[in-house]
Amino acid sequence: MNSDTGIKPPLHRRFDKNRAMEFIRNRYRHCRNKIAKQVEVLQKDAAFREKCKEYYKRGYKDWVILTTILNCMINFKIQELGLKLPSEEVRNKYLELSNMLQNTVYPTNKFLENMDLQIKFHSILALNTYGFELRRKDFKPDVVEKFLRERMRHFDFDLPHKPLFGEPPGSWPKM
Amino acid sequence: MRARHPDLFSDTLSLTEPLLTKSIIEYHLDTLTSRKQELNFEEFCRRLIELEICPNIKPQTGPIGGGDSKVDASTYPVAPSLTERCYWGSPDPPSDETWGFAFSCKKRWKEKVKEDVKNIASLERKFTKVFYITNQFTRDKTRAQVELELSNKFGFEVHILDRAWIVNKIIENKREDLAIETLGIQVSYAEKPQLGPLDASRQREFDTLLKRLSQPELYFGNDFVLAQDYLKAAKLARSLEKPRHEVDGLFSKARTLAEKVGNKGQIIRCGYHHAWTTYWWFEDLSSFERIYSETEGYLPGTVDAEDCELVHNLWMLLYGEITKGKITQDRARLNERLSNIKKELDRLAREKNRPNNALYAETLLSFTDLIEGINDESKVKQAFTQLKNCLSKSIDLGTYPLMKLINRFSEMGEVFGGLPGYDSFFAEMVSIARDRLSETSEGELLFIRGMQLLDMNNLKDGLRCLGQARVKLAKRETLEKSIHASLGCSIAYMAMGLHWAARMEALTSAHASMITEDASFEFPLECFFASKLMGWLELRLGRIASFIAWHRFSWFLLNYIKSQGYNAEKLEEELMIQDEVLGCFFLNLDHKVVKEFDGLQNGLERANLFMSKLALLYALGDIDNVVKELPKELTENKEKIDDYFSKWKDQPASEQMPDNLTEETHSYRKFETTLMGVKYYIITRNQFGPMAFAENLLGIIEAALALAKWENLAFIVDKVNFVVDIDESGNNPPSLELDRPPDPDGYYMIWKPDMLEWLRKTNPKEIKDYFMQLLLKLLADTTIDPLEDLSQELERWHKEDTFSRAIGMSPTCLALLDIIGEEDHELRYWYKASTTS
Repeated sequence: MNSDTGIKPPLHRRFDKNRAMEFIRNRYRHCRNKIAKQVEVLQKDAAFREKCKEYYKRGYKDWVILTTILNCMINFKIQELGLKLPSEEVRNKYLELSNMLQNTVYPTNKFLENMDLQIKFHSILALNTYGFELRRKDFKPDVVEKFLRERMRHFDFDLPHKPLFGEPPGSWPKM
Repeated sequence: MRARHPDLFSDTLSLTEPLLTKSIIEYHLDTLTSRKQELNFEEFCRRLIELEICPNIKPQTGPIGGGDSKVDASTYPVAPSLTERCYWGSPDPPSDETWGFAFSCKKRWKEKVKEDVKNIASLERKFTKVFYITNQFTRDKTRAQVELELSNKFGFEVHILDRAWIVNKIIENKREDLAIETLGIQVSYAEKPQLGPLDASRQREFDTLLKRLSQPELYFGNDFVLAQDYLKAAKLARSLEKPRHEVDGLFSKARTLAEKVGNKGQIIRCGYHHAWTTYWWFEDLSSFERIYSETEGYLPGTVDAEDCELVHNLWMLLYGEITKGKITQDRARLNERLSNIKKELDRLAREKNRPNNALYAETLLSFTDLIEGINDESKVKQAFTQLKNCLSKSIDLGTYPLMKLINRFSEMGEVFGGLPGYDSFFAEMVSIARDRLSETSEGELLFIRGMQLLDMNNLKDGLRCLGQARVKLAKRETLEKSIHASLGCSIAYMAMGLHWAARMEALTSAHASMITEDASFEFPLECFFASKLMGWLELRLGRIASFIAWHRFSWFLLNYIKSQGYNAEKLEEELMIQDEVLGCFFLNLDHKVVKEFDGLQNGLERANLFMSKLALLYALGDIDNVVKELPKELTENKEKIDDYFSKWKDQPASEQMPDNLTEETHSYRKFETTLMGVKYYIITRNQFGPMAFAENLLGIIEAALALAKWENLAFIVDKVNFVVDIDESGNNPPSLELDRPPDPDGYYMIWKPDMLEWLRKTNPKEIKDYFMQLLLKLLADTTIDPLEDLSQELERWHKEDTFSRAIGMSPTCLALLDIIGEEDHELRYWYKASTTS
């Protein structure tokens, strides 16, 4: 049976456009600080830009792609260092690990292989940003993404700029 | 008894009325002069015209025959301010004209009127109208001629009023007393009973009942109702103070029929009322003792504390007779009898699965302790403390007859008021009554507002108010309104598409409406509406066996309602529509699916679903039998038959039917609902216990979330699975593993095979707590809101009585068992009905 309470989902009370914009600005800042060099490399790669075209079509903005690139790179670094995932050690070292990435550049094909998987986790990781409590472990990425899209308007906003991985590649937004 | 409860006795008054006929009055008027009553006639006329013509009459005070004023009476002027403000006893206020009156007993009235009018015309004072009143008959034609002649001659209106007018006014306007008093008419008086308002209503009800009882065919197969109607008739006859043989005859008939039916509650009630009547109305102690002895024999094993109370009331009468010295202790066997009552009360007080009844029994036990220990101060104090505790414990128990007991204990203050401990007990009663009345008053306001909102189609706010009203009014004394609020909630849920919650409320309404007073349904109409609603909901949910069961129950109620003298034509029509809708459902089923219902035809017939049976026959392709059942004009050829069923199939009702069935013939069934983007599935073993639990759970989830603020809840799953089953390895109730994260595959709720027994015997509060924990776990598992945020939302739910609305009526399986029973919910029962009939 379908009830009328199941028709149009309202925005969640934690939705706040100003805060959402602030989070986006922070993400851009953080990514430019940590992975600007890697981004420059990826911008030049046609195959990567083609992959991003798909992401743009799905409504992902540059800051989603950038945080996914950052997560990919942290993963690569973890693998390099032989750390066990997920662990308390990794959580404690997160900042340290991200700082290590400033001068690191990984080959594009590594991203092409891992981006699809990592972009799925973006949504689950984003839940923390809003202060939600993850009390279960079996999240379905598509359900989480749907929640963020419909009830938090998570994928609706961006800072004005030309797409970083568009044709031709754009530039970082003003922060 | 008559002094304490005058309402139970006849309120008819015996009045005397004069036997004054038209001929007596005419004779008396004709013979006035032979009795020298001319003066009496004048007095009579003056007072009569005050009542019939104008109130401001001034009598003449001079010598007989009009005196100096030439008139026997005339009007006096009345100030306009008085005219406007006073009540004058007639539709028209006094006129400001001057009218004159002449009265006469002379036989030659024509001469007399001319003479009197001439005299009046000669006066300086001018009259606008003159009335001549005579005790003689006047011919119409002559009178009119004289009136016209005199009016023309003297320039004022002349009116002649004769004996016919006088007699007419006395008889029609009930002026007999005036005539008797002023004219001195000697009459005899007759006694005439004047029915009091209570007796008038009782007499009407009694006559209707007797008429119905004279048609035994109305009760065919329903001796319970027949016994109940005889009991009602006996009580009415008693209150109307009919002759004893009539009253006894009706009570005896009621008791014999009740014994035939075998319902202990009904037998005890019939016996109780008969004994009570014999004692108080006929003051026949030996017959009372006999009936008491016959009645108390039915007490062992009774299920209602109220039955024990009735027998204890009779015991109290015996106790009173001993103190008066009218019977001996040996003869009365008081101790032995009280011990039998206490034994039953003690048994009932231990049945914690029926908390209202158990506490009622406990209260009565404490009361018997009070009576037993009346001469022992410590025992009395202890008994009052027990009673106080009982009343305190009753606060959350809806159908515990708190106000009835408070009123009774308060009345008993006349007898027990001086005992130690009574004052403290009384203070507790006052405090509880104040809270209770305040809560029910609030409930009544919420009920009115809720119904208004529902009428305005504001479903959510309407549900909020009605849900609160239902909880606040769920007391014995406001049960009817609580049932109405519950029906309102059900309708609101239904309109919101929350069919499981609607079903849970309708079931609650039906169960609450089954309450009986003096062994008769107190709310048969409400019960019918709830049952009919259950039928609709089961149809919407695609549950055929349950629909058939409720439909049959609705017909039982309809027949009961008819037997009570209601015009139930419209109600019957609604049941017929249900029949047609089920038919429409069969016609729209896929042929393979419809095969599952082959064999159900006679079961449908047994539940008065004749149209559905016809549709099923057609859907199964059994045209031969269709032809037998259809009227001839529809069966001339195959096209006509197809056309008939095709039109039926396309009825708008088909759009409201479910897309799928709930797999009633399978070993496991799936129930589902969708709320706030989450689909809840329950796979349940196709057995009464697990199924009833699954239905209850879905009802709770829907009811709880119906008014939840979705913006405050971040559901992060799209699907929740439950499996409800029974197995030796299970638990009663299944563990909720509150501290563990949810199993990704769902919630496995495995009960022990005796789950129903456990649900029956366990205190309902424990079961409600279990559902509460399950609901909270479900919320915590399916949302990602921080617990602090969730607590805020739950606090709001608490303030709106959401938990009482959603969980308060659980476990609902007990209501189902009480009303429909276990078997009837299974399709195989209706197939069996087919083979056995």
